[in-house]
Amino acid sequence: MIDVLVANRGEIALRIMRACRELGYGVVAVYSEADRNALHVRSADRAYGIGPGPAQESYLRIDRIIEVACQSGARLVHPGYGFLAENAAFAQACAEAGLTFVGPSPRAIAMMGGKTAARDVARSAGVPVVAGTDTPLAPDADDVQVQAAAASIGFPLMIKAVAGGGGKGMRAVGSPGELAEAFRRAASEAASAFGDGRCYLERRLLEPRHIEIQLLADAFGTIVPFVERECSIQRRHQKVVEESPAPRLDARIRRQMADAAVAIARAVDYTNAGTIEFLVDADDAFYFLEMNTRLQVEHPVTEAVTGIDLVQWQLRIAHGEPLEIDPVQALSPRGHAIECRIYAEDPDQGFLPSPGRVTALTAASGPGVRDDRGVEAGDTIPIFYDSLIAKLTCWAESRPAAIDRLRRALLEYRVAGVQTTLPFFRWLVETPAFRTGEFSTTWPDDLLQDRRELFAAPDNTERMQAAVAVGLTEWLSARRLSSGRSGSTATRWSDAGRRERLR
Amino acid sequence: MTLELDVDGHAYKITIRADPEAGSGHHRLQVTVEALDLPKVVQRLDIREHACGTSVIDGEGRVFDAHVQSLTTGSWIVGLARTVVPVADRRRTPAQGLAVRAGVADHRISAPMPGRILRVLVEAGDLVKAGQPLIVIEAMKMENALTTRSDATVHEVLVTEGMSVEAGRLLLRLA
Repeated sequence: MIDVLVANRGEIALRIMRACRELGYGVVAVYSEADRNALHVRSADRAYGIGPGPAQESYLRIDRIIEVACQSGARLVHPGYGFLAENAAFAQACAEAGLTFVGPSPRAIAMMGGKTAARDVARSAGVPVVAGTDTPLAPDADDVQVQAAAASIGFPLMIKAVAGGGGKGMRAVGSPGELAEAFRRAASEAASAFGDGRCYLERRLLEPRHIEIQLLADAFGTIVPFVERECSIQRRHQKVVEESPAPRLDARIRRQMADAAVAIARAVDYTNAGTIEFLVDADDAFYFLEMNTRLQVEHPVTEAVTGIDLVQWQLRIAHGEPLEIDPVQALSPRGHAIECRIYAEDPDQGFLPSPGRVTALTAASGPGVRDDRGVEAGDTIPIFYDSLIAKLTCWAESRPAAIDRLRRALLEYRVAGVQTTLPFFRWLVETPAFRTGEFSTTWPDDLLQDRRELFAAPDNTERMQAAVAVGLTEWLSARRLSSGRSGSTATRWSDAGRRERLR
Repeated sequence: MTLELDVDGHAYKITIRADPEAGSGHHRLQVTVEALDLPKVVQRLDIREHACGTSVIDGEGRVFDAHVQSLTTGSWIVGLARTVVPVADRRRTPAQGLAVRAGVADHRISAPMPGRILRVLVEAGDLVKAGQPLIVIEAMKMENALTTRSDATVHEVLVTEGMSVEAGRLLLRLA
């Protein structure tokens, strides 16, 4: 049997393992010391420890992962997203060790992974880019250098990590006064998240939408673009809700964006799954933002509206198969899908991370509901990694029906023990702008800015229910204690014996 | 059994006894709820415990489900379908349940999660405004600013930059 080593953790490791099993592959997991008992380890056929909790000492250790991959006899390595997914050195190391990296060539990763180099590729492929600095700034660049670079493009602007992703190492800057501090923080965040603190500056469009084109490319020159995903709903530049198709996008623009995405991919002889991200302004003009040379977090919405399994195709392409996808099917959405990223964060405390033990968990299910999750009741969310618990994806025949279904599923989904972003999503789906689809990337940050009230303030009924529930719990535990005391002598002897053995 | 509870900042008195009309049923209770400003309620409840909490059906057939998590002695978090409610025993730890959950009580700023203190932005004696960042803590690869919900004066700073802190560690006192 062919084995695939999954060089990742959490929900995406489980997603990849499912595709592997469907294709008849065996599954090898890797884990840090913090993850020994994690769901992705329990779900694998075999698992290998690769180091201590901090990602730099485990999931980012190329040497350790290659070593256990060789030891395990795995033939393919799937990097998932994050960690080493866009690390050309890792893809190269896999090739040198005789392992098949499930992703593009090291050359394509290097060209598109460097955000400034990627802009050059897009420009030469005839795709417009947002105005920005062409050479990256070193993390220790002095204030004069940074201010000079900023002056050449003007304010407002964005600072972005050259190696960036997931909103880390990214800052919006409105005026020269905020620049130095924002640059320092972006560079330090980028250094700790990606091991590369270099940043560049980019002109900030006003009220842009973030719309992206997924594509698959095989080794025989076939490139298939997919219907767009809209990912404008972000918090601190991190996507939190994604949907497909985009709520307000002309079919003509979709076709143009798909063509532009294919042109960029062709320019770097791209293979496997990738995504071209665009910013779209109020006049439907689109600009190349960056390319993600990997599977995206939000790939389930595309799978939901096209019926095409992207992760299976990643594995099949890596295995040398030609793409056999109807390009019309890939570009013609059936119904509408919306995904919410459920994080262990407290929305009522400025979305502070809320790691810890999940004491109870009930996932949503039923028609049109997909739950991608890396955590079960009893599991602990470690402090070292991204706090994503689950991705809830709802599909329905139309966008309004998908929103209704999402609202229903969000009430079914319950997580106890840690705070989650569920109350935030329950609030978000009720907002008029979400219904009409009239939002840009600055919404809901703008909406949250002055918000003081809680996302799910309890009403009188709920307070009474909570009071009653505590009363019942106390009553039941008091009754258990008293029935324990009144037990027979024989029972008490066996209880004492049990306690003795537990010592 | 009678409990005096602080429920999300509101005082409640709960009296529970086995339902005298329920016969041998172990899970039928008569519950009296008294809250300030609200009419007194007497309910007959049928309760069952399950893997993820407690299922309750009242005398009129209404259903709710609650997950009660005990934090410390005398403080709880109750998970309901739509919301999470902090509850504390008024006789034991007045309103402390709120502090544990929020990480930010009225006059105390504590670490909501384990992490490293990146920056301390205030010192004792400073006047701070609602929403103003006080301390930046790094955890889960992100920098998180701790803020205050109301205007206050910094009374005492209990940590320094670079320190590693456990969840719940008191960082600042406000006055």
